[in-house]
Amino acid sequence: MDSSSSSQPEFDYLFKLLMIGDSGVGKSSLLLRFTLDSFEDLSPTIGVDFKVKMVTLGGKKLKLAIWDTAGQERFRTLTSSYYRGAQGIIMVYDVTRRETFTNLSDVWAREIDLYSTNQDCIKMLVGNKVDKESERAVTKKEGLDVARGYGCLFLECSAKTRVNVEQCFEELVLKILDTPSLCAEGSAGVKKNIFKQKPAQADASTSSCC
Amino acid sequence: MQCSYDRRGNSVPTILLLMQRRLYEQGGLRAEGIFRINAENSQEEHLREQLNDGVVPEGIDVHCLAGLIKAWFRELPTGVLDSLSSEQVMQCQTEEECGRLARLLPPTEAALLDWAINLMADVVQEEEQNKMNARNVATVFAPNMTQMADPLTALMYAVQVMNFLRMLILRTLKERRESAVEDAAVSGADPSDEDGHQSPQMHLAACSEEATERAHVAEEAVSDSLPRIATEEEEEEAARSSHDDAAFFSENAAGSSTGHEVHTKTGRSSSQNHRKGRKAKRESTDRASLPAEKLKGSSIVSRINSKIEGVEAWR
Repeated sequence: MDSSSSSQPEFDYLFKLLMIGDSGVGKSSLLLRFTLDSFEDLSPTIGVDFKVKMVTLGGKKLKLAIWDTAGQERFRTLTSSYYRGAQGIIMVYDVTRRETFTNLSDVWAREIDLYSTNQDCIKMLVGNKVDKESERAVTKKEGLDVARGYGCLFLECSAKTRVNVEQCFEELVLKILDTPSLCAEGSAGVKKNIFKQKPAQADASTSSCC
Repeated sequence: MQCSYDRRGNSVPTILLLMQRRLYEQGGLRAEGIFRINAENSQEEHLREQLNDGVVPEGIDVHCLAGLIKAWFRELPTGVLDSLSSEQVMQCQTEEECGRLARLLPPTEAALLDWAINLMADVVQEEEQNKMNARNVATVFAPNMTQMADPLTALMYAVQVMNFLRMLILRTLKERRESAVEDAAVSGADPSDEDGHQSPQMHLAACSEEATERAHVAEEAVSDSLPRIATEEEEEEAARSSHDDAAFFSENAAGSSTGHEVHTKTGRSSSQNHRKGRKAKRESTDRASLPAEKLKGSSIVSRINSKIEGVEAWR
């Protein structure tokens, strides 16, 4: 126990990221591509899946805990409890299936409003499956417009061809690193000394906000 | 809620059979990711309203139909598998054990499960096209078959239920393969010949329908067993009876506390229909024919009449 405080921390920040979107848009495939750089036919996710990836970005060692949620409707009540405390939310749709795009506004954006506890949480809209260009049903401009409307980041990618997959996560994380309140939450020190830190945080907030 | 018999003699709500029929007619079984993919939310809500008004519109997205079939199970007052304990489900490791456990369900739930498993097996038979293997289709159905207050327990249990469903699907597929072999061996008289004299129109409709299907026990039987609208009278009746199905979602939601009650809670004409169904089932065993007036009320029943023999033959 004593040694842990003196040794080099495993990471500088721990961020919780969440992936949401309709069933079959490729959430798990994106995660698999990002974490293990592979691609295969995946079964539907049961409830939630969870993967960790260490990355170094902007000179910081980051531990990303990525929660991959099931798109199946029944699991929505369950997955809503995973929105809590996320610093980043990736909303995924399939560029070849228009309904996955419209459902993001109809269903998923509402879920975020209801369940996300983090006001500053960074959101990112991701259009997957751009490898199927001939079947495209949602234009890039439409994606951009919606993203602008929600004030979130936007990228189009393909888990299959790996185009833009890393960029999705990187852009999101860089934006989180740019947001002091989120960095504070994710800082390794905060997590370790959660009880000791509390009064200190209270002091900080009083001094900084007024 | 009105019930009808499926090809295996399961009494299930007519609305499920109607949705299943549409799904199959529109090539839903071959649609990639069928039962996995969500339909457009607004379309699903719209279709719900129409179904509750007694209308089954044309040209619905197959994913919307599939989604509503799952929703029907999900929104029952109690899950179809809720009468089984999680320990029982967890202990089932083989197809035989799962089959034995399924037989412990009350009659209504057993019929619904059997219908659903056969639907899933139909999906898996088209796996090459739809990419839905037994595991995939079981995974997307599992959370809809039970209801649990605690989400975490529900999540862990969903895995067990998925395995349970998967076993039952694989078992059904095995039975189908075996019976297909047997059928080939005794391929002789068409069982539906028997009731040809009662309702030639319907018989023709059924035959032509069958002719367009592949000579596959499972596929042929499904379309055959569903309510077929052949005459004007029957069309009227179908319109009326589908009206009885009206508000099937809201009925569920408002509904009674057990699945069994949902099943028996019926309108006037539907309970009549149900009795006829029972009667027909009995009569079919001694191959008696139904008088024409009875047929008017329930096109399904006569179809079942001929079909039950078929079903029993390959069971």
